[in-house]
Amino acid sequence: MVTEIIFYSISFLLLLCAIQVVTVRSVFSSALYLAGALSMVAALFVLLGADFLAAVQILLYVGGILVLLVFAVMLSSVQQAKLYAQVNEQWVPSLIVCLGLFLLIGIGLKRVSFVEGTVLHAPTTKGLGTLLLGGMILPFEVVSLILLASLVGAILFSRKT
Amino acid sequence: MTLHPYLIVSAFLLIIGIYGVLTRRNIIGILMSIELIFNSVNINLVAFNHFLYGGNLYGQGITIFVIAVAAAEAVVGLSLVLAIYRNIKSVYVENMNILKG
Repeated sequence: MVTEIIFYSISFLLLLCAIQVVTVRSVFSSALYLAGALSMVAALFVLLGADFLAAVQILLYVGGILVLLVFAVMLSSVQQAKLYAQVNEQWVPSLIVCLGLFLLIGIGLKRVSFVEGTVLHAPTTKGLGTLLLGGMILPFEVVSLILLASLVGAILFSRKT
Repeated sequence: MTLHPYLIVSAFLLIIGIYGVLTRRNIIGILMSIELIFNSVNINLVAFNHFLYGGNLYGQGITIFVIAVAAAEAVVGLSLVLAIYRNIKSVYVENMNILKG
């Protein structure tokens, strides 16, 4: 019962922050609401028993990607954001498309039922380490290549021409 | 606690992200909406892993890869945004039409 209350309050805050991210006028406020939404996702990970992933979510998303987004917001135009509308004129068809998509997903979820296994809460860090260097060693190496390529690409695109 | 509420929350987060991608004019706002979509996928993966495959950690491993690829995407995307902003002095997507014939 307590778990349900915590889950529904976290989900409410998460969806509230997410709606603010896509509707608020100033891009900087939108980045701050995105920080709230990402922290709520980390809280959901804690509820799901993924302790290492919650820490990674806070460290990488809220500490890394979000600081990068705020840098980009501040380096680009701040004055323009106050003057012009931030939403284009197609928002009614987009809303209809999104609600239809949600309806489809909801119908699909209503018709299917999953066979749920045993739920256990155990520390996951050791298991993830052995998994990353054991069963998933190939994607681990490919991700290191992707990070190297993105590093080179960022330097290439951001230098003065 | 069952699996379905997590999937409903994740679907909601997904459609909010798609709505943001479709309607935002600022390209940094579009990148933020893409981060929301990535997070909905992560919630799905971790919830399936927790409720259906209890002792097994493959879903969380894939989530780590999704986070790493999201970081790489954000780095390259934002450096592209800043390069475009230096050239055309705008971050609105309807002005980015130099490739149009």
